[in-house]
Amino acid sequence: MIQTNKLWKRFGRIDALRDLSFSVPEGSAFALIGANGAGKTTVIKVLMNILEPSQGSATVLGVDSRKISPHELKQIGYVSENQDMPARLTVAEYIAYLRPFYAHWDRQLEAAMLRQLRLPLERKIGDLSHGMRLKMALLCALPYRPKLLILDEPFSGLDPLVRDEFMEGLLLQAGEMTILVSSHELGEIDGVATHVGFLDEGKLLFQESMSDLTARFREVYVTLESGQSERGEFPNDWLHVRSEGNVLRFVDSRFSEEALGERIRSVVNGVRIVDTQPMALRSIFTTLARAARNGSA
Amino acid sequence: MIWHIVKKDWKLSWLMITGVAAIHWAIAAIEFKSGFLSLNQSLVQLRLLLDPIAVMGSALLIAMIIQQDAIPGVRQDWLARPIQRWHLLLEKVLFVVVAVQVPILAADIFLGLANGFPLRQTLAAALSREAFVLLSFTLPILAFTSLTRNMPEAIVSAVIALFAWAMLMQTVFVAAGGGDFERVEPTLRSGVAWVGESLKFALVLLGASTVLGLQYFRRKTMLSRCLAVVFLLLMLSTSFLPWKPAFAMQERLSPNPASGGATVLAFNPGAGRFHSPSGIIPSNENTRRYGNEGKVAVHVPLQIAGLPTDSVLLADRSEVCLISAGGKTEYCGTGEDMHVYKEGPDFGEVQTYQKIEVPVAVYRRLRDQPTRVEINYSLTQWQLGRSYAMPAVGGDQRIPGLGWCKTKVNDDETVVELSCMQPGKGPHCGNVCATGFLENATSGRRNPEYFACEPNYSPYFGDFDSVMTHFNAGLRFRDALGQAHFPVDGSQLAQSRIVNRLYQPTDHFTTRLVIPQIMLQEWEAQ
Repeated sequence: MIQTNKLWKRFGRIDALRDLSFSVPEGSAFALIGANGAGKTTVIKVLMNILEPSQGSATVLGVDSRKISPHELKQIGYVSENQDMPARLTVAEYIAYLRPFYAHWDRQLEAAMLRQLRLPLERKIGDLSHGMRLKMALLCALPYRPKLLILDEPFSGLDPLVRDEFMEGLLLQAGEMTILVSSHELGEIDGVATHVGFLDEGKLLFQESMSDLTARFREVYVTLESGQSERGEFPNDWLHVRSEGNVLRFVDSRFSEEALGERIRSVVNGVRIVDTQPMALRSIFTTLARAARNGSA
Repeated sequence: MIWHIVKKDWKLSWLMITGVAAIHWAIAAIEFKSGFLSLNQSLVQLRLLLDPIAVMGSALLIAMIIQQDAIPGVRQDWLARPIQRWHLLLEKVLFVVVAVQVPILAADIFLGLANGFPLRQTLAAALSREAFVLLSFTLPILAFTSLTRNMPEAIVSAVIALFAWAMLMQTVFVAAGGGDFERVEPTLRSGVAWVGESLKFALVLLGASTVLGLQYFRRKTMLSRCLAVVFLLLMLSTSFLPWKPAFAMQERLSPNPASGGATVLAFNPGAGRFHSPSGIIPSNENTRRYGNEGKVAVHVPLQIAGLPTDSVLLADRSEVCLISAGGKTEYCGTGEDMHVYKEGPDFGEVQTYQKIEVPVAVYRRLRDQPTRVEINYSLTQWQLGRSYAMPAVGGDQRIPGLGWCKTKVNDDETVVELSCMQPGKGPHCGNVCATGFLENATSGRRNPEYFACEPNYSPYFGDFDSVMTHFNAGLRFRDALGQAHFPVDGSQLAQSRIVNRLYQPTDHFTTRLVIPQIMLQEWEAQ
């Protein structure tokens, strides 16, 4: 559905995207995660042909992003936290303006979403709150049942109640849609994303399905007999290794139930107890981000 | 889809469109109410106030329409919508034309029809003016605002651009001639100024098409901005179009080429020095005798042969060079505009003086030295079309070429005022020259003629201010100081009429006059 290939985007001397390659499988909900300034919005603007890549290429719905035409845009829903809609039109006027551009605009779905999102039809867009404007953007992106929905920081600045309304509106209609959502808030994509990519300073550190990711990460606690210490180098896939008394703690990024004991014993003596804990998504990303900055990821 | 965008733009800008249109219509109403002579000062003041508001309002309206779907930027919702770029561009151009230009067209048509002019003449003038406003105002602003993302940015950019333009023009003028406009812009205020203006319009079309194409189809704002600057500089350069190619173009468009071929100009020392004609003082007498400050006026007597009957010969430009006996060119400049007219077959050769304003320093060097004078003339020959007579007092007549004319005596009772107006070109800034005189219909006595000829040979009509052109001439019949006496005085006005003669250009041609040797001091005005 989306494919980028060695994508670069430069703004003057700054590389906003560096050699970015990733793919979003059809039917997936791909979360692009990264801190503020990591390049998430830039990727999305390139995919939407709002920005032109400096190097490399991207394809969306099988078409080079630079050649995206109204034909493709009819199949893409786009919601962004900083989306400028005509401030002096009312909600109703703008929806009425957009309808004719989409041959498959579903008036019933539009009405259902209006009820669900509780948007004031007669209010001018410029008078809407930030949250309402995001809901408005969502309302303008779904009734034509796009194949691909691109959400750029859709939860930014939303209070929990509005966020839940937004998510309900989204999930209710998601159906077979492929979704690309960018966020710097991990909690927001938990339970939504099926795949995830981690972007740091314009570079993609990894992309993986959520199930694989959560399966391969474990926090490991190794209790050693007193007086024992490690006898060799730790493997590279052990992250954030530290000792606290006779307890060795680390994050195993290639967790395997069967192999773990053997691997531990190969580097430390006197292993008494090995305890493993599944990790929350937030902890996984924190670990990865720290490792990336230390150059060990 | 274009229609949907039109409806959206109308919803967003109908108030502004109506407001700007109302200002244009108010100006037309004021102009209609003012009639021939704007004597009502409050209307004059109101017009002076409304004119710049109309211009600013129209410019802001264009910016507003374009920026409803701004091109620069990455946040606009329309970028993610299935809108064909060429639909958007076409809609913007059409909507701007309809919102800005159609109200002006309506006001112009109202003005022409309300003043009793035929629809055809009114429509032709109004449409020509529309094209002029489109090329000189609407299209450049449309292209310019497509480079900006919001109103503050457009206003700040416009101020910077205007300031840069003014600074550049000032620099060019200072560098080229210390403010000598004739030298730097030789076609300025001449009949062939339209050649440079047409070049400018061609560049506007090309520049606007390029910028709008790049913006709407490629969204290359930085490149478009650079190109806009290049086109602005090219447009600036058209102001400095040399005289020769401009007039050569005009020569090719002569209605009756070679009809001026028989005209011969020759130095005529036998005519003696220039003297002020006694009794009657022509309006420009003072400037004829005394040159501008820092210059000495030299009047070279000329004899012009071969002029057809009932014709006018007008020097559009005379380029004069003074060359010393040693062959050194001491001075080159332009001579004063010269015109002669030949009425009836009885006149033989026509005599006149070519005034040359020589800088004092050059004059001091050359005054008693044999000096060679070379004058390159760019001339236009005009042929009498028709003559019209109307009462000197209370006249009210429609005259082809002059328009709707009225006559009245001024408050001081010294001048019969002839006022004419018509949609489109007239004798002022037109391709008609007019002469006229006050004549006692019974005795046949005449007062000195007025001569109105400010040619504009452009094949189109274009005036930013109004579709109506006004022509005013004053025919003196009394000297308030009592020094001059007129053959037709105030007591004869009731039996008198104004005879207007309208001339049309037949040939544009160049000729060169070489006077091998003269002493400048011998031709200084007495």
